[in-house]
Amino acid sequence: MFKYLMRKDVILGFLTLIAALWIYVTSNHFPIPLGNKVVGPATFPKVISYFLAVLGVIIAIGGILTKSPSTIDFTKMDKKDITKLIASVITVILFSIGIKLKLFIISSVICLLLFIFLTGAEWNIKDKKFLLHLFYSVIITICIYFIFGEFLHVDL
Amino acid sequence: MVGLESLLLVFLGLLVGMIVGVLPGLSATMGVAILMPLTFAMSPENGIATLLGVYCGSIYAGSISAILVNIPGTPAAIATNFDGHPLAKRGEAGRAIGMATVSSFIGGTASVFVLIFLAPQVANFALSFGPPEFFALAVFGLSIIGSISGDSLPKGLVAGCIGLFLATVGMDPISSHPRYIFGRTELLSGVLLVPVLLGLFGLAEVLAQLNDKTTVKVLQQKLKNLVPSLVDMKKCAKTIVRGTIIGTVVGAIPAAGAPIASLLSYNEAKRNSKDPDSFGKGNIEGIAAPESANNASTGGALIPLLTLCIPGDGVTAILLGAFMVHNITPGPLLFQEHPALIKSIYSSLIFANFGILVCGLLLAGFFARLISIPRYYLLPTITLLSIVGTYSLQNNIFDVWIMIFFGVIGYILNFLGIPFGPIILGLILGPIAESNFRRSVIMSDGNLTIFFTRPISLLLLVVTVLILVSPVLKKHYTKKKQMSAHGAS
Repeated sequence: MFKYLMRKDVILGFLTLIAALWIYVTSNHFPIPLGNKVVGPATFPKVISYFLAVLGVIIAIGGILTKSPSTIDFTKMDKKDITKLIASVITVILFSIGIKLKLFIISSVICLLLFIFLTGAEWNIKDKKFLLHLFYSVIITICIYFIFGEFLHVDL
Repeated sequence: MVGLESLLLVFLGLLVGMIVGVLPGLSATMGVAILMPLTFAMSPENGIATLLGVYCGSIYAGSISAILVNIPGTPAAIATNFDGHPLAKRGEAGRAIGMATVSSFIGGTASVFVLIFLAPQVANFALSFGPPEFFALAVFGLSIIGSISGDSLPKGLVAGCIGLFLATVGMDPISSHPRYIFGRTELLSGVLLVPVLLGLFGLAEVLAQLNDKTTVKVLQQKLKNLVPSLVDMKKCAKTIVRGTIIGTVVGAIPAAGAPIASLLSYNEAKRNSKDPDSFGKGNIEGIAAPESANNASTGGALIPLLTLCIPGDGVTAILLGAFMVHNITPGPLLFQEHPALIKSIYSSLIFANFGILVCGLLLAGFFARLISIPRYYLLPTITLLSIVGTYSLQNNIFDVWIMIFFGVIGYILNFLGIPFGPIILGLILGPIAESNFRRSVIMSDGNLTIFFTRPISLLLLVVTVLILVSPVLKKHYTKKKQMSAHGAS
C-alpha cells in the first residue's frame, strides 16, 4: 500500500481529489440564484470540482496500474539541491521586500550576486571571476532600473 | 499604416526574440511572457508589435541552436535537428542556417498574406455569433489543452481546471458576489494574468532549472555560404511551398501549433523525396521543410486568435493575454473597433519576417556565440525581470507575492508533471466561457439545450469532443495495431 502512495501520479490524484472537494464545499456558501436563474456564482466552481474529481480518480488509478511508475523517494533527494531551492525562494522574497522598501538598486545587486552563485557559479571572492559577476550584477541592475524606473516610470 | 516607432520596436522585439530562441532552455512562451511587462506603457499597437517581433524571432532562432548544438532552441525546431546538426558536423552549418533563414522568411511572409486575406472573412462570419456560440467557442478554444498537455491528457485537463478555477476568483461577473478572495480586496478584480504568467513561465522555470547540470557543447566553426545557392533553392522550392501550406493550415487549427507543423512538413518532404534515405543524414530539404512550416504557423495561428479569440498554441495563448492586458479582446469586433491595430499587426508581421531574413543572414554568427552564455547569468536575470515586470503592472507588491506564490506552486506542479500552458488558457478563456454560458442560460429561461439546438454552437461542441477524444482513440488504435503486428510476427 505504502509503495503506491509514493507514486507521483497517485499523490497528484489524491491532491486533485482534495482540491475538488474543497472547491465543492466552499462553493456551497455562495448565494443561490432567485427565480428562473438556474445558474449562479456557484455553478462554474461546482462544474470544475466535478471535472477535477473525475480526473483525480483517473490519474490515481492510472498511477496504481502503471507498470513504469515515477516515484518520489525523499531519502534519495540531494540535500544540497533542496537547500539551493529554498535559498533561491528566500532570495526572491528578500529582493521583493527590498523593492517594497524602495531599496531596489542595493537589493538587486546583492540578490543578483547571490543568485549567480546559487545557479552554479563558483563562490570565491579572491577569484577574478567574482569581479566579473559583480560587474554583471551592477550592469543588469542599472539596465533594469533605467528601463523600468526611468522609461516605464515604475516606482522602484 | 504602421509608424517608424512601431517598426523599431518590432525590430527590437525580433532581436530579443532571436536571443531567446537561440538559447536552449528558454522558450518562445517564456520570452513573450517576460517581455510583456515592458509593453505596459506602450500603445496597444506598439506593445503588440513588439511582442509579435519576439514571437516570430524566437520561433525562427530555435533553428540556430538545433543546427549548432543539436538541441532545439524552441520545440518548433525539433525537426530541424534531424538534418541540421549532421550538416553542421560536416562543416556546413552556414549553409544550414542560411536555408533555415530563407525558408523561415518565405513561410512566415506567405502566411501573413493568408492571414490578411482570410481573417476579415472569418471575422465577418463570426459577427452573427451570440452568447451560446461564444460559450461553445471558448470551450472549443480550451480543446487545445490536448495539444499542450505534454505526455498526459488528464494532467493537461487538471491544469485547464486549475486555470478555470483561478478565473472564478474575484467578483462574479453577473451577481458581483465575491468568490475565493480570502478577505483580500486586491483579489476582488480577480487573479491578474501577468503575475500568474511570470510566476509559472519565469520563476517556476528558473527554480526547475536550478539543479540542471547539463552543459551545452557548441560546434565551433566559421559560418560560410549563409546565402543559399541557386542549386539549393531550386532543390528546396517545392518543399518550401509545401511547408508553407502545411504550416499555415496546421497553425490555424487550434490544438496543433508550430512543433506539429514542422514535424508534419518534414515527414511530407521525406515522403515525397526521390532520396528519402538521405534524410536525417544532412539533407538540405530536411531544413527547408520544418523551417518554412514553423514560421508559416505564426501567421496561421493568428487567424483564430484575432478573429475568434482562440489561441492556436501555447505562445498565442500568452499573446492573447497580452491583448487582454492592453484592454483589447480579440474576436470578430476587433476588426471593426480597432482597424488601426489590425493594420499594425499585419505590417509588423511582414516587417518581422523581413527582419528575420536580414538579421538571420547578417547576425547568425553573433547569435551562435550567444548559445554559450552561462546559465548562471541567464537565470538570475530572468528572475529579476519576472519580479520587476510583475511589480510594474500597478506598482503593487501584492502582485509580486502572487507571482512568487505561483512560482513555487509552478515548481511543484512541474515536478508532478502538470503543464503550464492549459492553466493560462483556462485563466483567459474561463471568464468568456462562464459569462456567455450564464447569459445563454438566462436567454433560454434555464433551458440547457440552447447549446445543442443552434447549429454553430452544436458543431463547435462536437468538434471539441472529437479533438479531446482523438488522442485517446489514436493511442488505442496504435496499441491495437502494434499488438496485431506482434501477434502476426
